[in-house]
Amino acid sequence: MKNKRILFWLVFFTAMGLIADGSYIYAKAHLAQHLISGAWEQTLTGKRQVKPWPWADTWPVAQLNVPKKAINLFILNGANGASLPFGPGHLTGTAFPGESGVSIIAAHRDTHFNFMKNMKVGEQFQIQTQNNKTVHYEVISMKIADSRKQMLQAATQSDSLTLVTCYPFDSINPGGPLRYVVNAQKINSL
Amino acid sequence: MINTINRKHFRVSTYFFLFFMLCQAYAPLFAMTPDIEQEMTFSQVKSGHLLFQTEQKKFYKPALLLNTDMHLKVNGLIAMVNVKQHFKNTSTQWMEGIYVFPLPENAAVNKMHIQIGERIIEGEIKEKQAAKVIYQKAKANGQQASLVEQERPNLFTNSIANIAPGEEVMVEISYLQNINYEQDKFSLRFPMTITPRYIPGKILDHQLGEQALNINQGNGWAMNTVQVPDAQRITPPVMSAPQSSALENNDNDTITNPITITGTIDMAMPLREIVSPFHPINIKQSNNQYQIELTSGRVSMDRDFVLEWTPVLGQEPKAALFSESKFSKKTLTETKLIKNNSSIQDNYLMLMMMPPQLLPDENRLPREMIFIIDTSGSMSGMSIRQAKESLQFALTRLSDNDQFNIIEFNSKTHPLFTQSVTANKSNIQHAQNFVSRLNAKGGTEMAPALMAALNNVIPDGYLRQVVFMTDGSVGNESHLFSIIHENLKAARLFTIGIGSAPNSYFMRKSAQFGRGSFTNIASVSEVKEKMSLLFQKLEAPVISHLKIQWPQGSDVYPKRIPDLYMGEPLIITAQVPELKGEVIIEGQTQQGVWQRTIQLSNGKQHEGVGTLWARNKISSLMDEQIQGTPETWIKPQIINIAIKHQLLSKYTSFIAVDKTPVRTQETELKQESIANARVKNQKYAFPKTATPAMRNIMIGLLLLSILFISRKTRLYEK
Repeated sequence: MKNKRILFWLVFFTAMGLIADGSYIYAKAHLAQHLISGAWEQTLTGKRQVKPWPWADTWPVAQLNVPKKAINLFILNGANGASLPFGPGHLTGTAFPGESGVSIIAAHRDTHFNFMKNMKVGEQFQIQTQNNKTVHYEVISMKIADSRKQMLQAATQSDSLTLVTCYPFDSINPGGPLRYVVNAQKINSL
Repeated sequence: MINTINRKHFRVSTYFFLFFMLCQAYAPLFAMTPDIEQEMTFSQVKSGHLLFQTEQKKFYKPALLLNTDMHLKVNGLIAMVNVKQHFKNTSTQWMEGIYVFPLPENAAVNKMHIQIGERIIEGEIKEKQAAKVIYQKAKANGQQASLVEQERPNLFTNSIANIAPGEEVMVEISYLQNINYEQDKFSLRFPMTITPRYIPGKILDHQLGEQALNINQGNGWAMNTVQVPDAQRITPPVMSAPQSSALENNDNDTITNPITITGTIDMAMPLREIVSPFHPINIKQSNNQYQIELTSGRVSMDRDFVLEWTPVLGQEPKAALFSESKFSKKTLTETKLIKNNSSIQDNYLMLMMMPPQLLPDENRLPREMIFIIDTSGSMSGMSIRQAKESLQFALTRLSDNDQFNIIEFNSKTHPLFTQSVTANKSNIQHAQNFVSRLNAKGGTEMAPALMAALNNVIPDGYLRQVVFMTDGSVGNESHLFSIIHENLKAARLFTIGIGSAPNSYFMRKSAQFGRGSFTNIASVSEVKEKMSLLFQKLEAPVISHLKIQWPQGSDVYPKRIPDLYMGEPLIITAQVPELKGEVIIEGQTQQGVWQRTIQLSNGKQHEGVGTLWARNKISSLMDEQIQGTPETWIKPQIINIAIKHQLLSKYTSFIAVDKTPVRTQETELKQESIANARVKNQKYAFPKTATPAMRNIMIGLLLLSILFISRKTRLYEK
């Protein structure tokens, strides 16, 4: 009987812990963006590497706007465990978003980049750079890639932006090998 | 009965399910997540490459197109190279082009001119700031002009003002360089693109007054930092190389930044073979003259061009002496003093000497080998594979009485062992496992890794050899050189340049300050050959304490003569009062003193010796600065020698201006940076882009509902 009781509480706390942990991930993803907005405003005034909170390992480098989907996201430096819980991350070594060259941005499919499942070819969005410049992009293709067999390699002759997230969107397994890759190209603003 | 069985069955399966769910929930705590990021080979590349269309008009396309022609002429131990950069303006606007490009780290750039239509305008060497002012003035006036500046000894910027719509401007740059000669093989490397550099250090506040004075701030992707105050100028935009993605459909029509390469090699001796390991070439022979050209005519500038040639067996040169006499104009005051003779003859020499082959040393000291491996993001793709295989090879070459350690670094430094351990079987096994798990990502913070390798106390009775594998893609080279210089002590540092476009300046100079030597490995197939040679060098004795006696009044560079490793020749340049007398070379070997005497009058006249001497002198002066001599003392000397020999340097630039303005003040001038081709084989691993949030919540809810149901059933049972 005693064993059963222990089992009951063990299962109960595990369940509550899991729910709390999951909710915390969503809450963090959502709230962090609000905290980052302050740091971004300072970045636009000319400061660089403004940390949104004192112990942060990352800082905003650009802002992504998808007007049709009411998406407004701050892109953080680096696409790794230190940045992705709080916002989309810019892959170090690729061009900065909005600047010439190929830029790659990644984010979690279940939080910030969940909207990507509804992106369509021809859709337009904007990037605001650290120098307060707005650059327009248009989605030209999407692909599903297998991260076990392929590596990211943006092949283009002109300025473009690649958005990466996990695939399939509604899978609950976090370690899946598939990635959803959206390619967008810089267009002259209208 | 049936009822109880059913109930029992339900109970058991509930427990099983609970157990399974708990395992799932706690799994991440225990499990070692398998490494799914795998290296891919070309044959695996089949689909899913990110290809972009560019046909639609509204998409942004570069207005300036770059075409390059390179011609090299090898004569003896010196190569003369012409690089013609054609900038074509395809837009309807007036353009200013800015192109940051690499050249060999030991190039002596001594000529430049621009050609617009039929007109040729010769470039002149001017003090850097003065050249900049001339360029800015010309640009504002609407005159066509080109300014070539040095950012690093292997990195330059060409700015071209006022390229008319639809017009082409050609800038021709010429340089001289020493041919590498090692293990009886001659080689030459022509860098074609830049691996994007990592810029460490705190970002500089750009409101700083000093910066405001800078006319051309540069428009690179990186911000200036304390450690790299000119980061903006050395981080040009990069485009990708469609060639690497075109593997899947063999579409070679899309060449980015096309280049043609032609050349002649005249060594005054028959050659056994000429090899271009990364670009197929055609070779034509007439007597001892060999002509080469690219088989495909033109290629993308996405990886370094390498040419290697070997003399027929037994004909390998063991010593050579070249000389050049120049009549240089003296400054006004000097002319007045001499009066009757308004010019003076300067004599320059270049001496090459291959030391004798030494027998392996029976009682050599046991070694402490420290391997530093760069696992930063720029190493991703094929580079990290080359580095890992090289390291695995090196591990097999250690012997029982050696000690070793491995230091991996990217943004952070991770030593494998806290201090060097004996190279026994279990330690090697441990190291091999460690290496096989290495992945490339993150920044390139080299300084802590170098300190970690050099600062530990060397175990008594051991010889410390540090082998550093990197692509050297950092912007803070001089800071790192001074760290090596200050912390080296009795250790020796050997660099291995990894990848398709490594920073050769970093490789060569680090090895020089580290009193070791450098090697390049540009493909996995080279690993075995190059690493074997390196290990032969590491194991063979060196010729140390080299002393050379020159006639009185000689000015000799390099100033400090390095130790000579197996198969490496001594190459030295000097300015001598007259081409008479002799030099005596003396060195210590295990078998005693090695000595040679050479008559200076026997030198073969060769153009360019004086220029190379001047280039070595500048390089020597720059080294002094890294060793602590103040810039104020060095700068005037460099300017002096650079202007006399018409050489591009850190403090002098080439400027060419067309006299007649072509653009009217009213029309606008647009600026564009010309992108470098993306380094071949550079790829990025996919980041992890899913959270366990949904899974955790779902498992949690499931567990709760099971508890709820089992409680219910139990209550019902009661």
